[in-house]
Amino acid sequence: MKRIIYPNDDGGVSIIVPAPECGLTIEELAAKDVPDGKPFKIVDTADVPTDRTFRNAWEYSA
Amino acid sequence: MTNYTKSTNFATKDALASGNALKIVKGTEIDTEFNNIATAVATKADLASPTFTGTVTIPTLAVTGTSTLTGVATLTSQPILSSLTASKPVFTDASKGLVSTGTLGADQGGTGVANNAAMTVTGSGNFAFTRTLTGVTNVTLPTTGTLSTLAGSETFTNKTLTSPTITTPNIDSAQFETVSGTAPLYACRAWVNFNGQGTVAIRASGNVSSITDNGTGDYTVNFTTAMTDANYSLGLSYASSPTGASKDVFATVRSVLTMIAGSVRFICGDFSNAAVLDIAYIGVNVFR
Repeated sequence: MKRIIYPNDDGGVSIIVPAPECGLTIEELAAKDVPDGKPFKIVDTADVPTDRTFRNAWEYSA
Repeated sequence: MTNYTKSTNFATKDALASGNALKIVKGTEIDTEFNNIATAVATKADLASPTFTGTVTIPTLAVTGTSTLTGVATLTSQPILSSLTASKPVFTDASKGLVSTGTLGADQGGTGVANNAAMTVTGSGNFAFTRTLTGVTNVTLPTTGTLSTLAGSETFTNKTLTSPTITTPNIDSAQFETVSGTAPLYACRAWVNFNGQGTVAIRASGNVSSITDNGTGDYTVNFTTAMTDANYSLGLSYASSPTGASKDVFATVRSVLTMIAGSVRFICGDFSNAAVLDIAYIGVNVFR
């Protein structure tokens, strides 16, 4: 499973979680759901921390 | 057609007296008789493979064995096939269909009613039947097989439609088994059940391409196909545990941040102290 991450306007990072039934590839999903002009990366789900104690402090690094 | 007519009565010559000039049989008389016979024979049909011309009148005809008609015959009166041992005529060339503008009898697949009126076609086995139905009602369709394209308004009773393509249907809500009354019924346009804690993940969804985890308790639901506008009704449900037994927080949706045709963003939190919180069970329903 993959996730798409991109920097949000609040200075943090947003993580797109695909719907299993959506029928789109991860690339198609990025083109559709990442806000226009935002850089993004496709990462493995395992690479996203599960400890969300400091979720709002997460940062996007290119 | 010419019949033979005798020109000279030779028998009358026998009664004439000897010396009578007419008693003599002349060669020209014999020649005339043979010419008459030749003319008559030449205009008669042969017994074997005769060729007729003009209008032929045939008396009651008993045909036995296999007879083949070649060429184009015009039947000026309706033929009556009353002594067929088989149930119906056999057309050996399938491309030559049975065309009827009058009445289809039982042997023709009909029930003896006029072809341009109500008609029931019965039969079994594989056969092709094409008929353009115009201005008719109560058409009985086959219970199996593939129907051609239907035009106009059709009523189906007790039919199961598999994967039909229905364009702008007008469905009577009273026909839904679980619905009573006549109030209109509106279907949910998008829905999702997701976990906002730990590894954020969607459990199940419909017309939702993804959710976006924007931060603690901050989620966006992205629709696969956008709504017509942002004036949809948004239903949100939430629980910190599947049974609600966990009372560590009073989960609630604190606010809806953005609500546009393609997505909706909202923030969840603790109802008791207004702190933002990740929620374990979040349900989103969209009606428009």
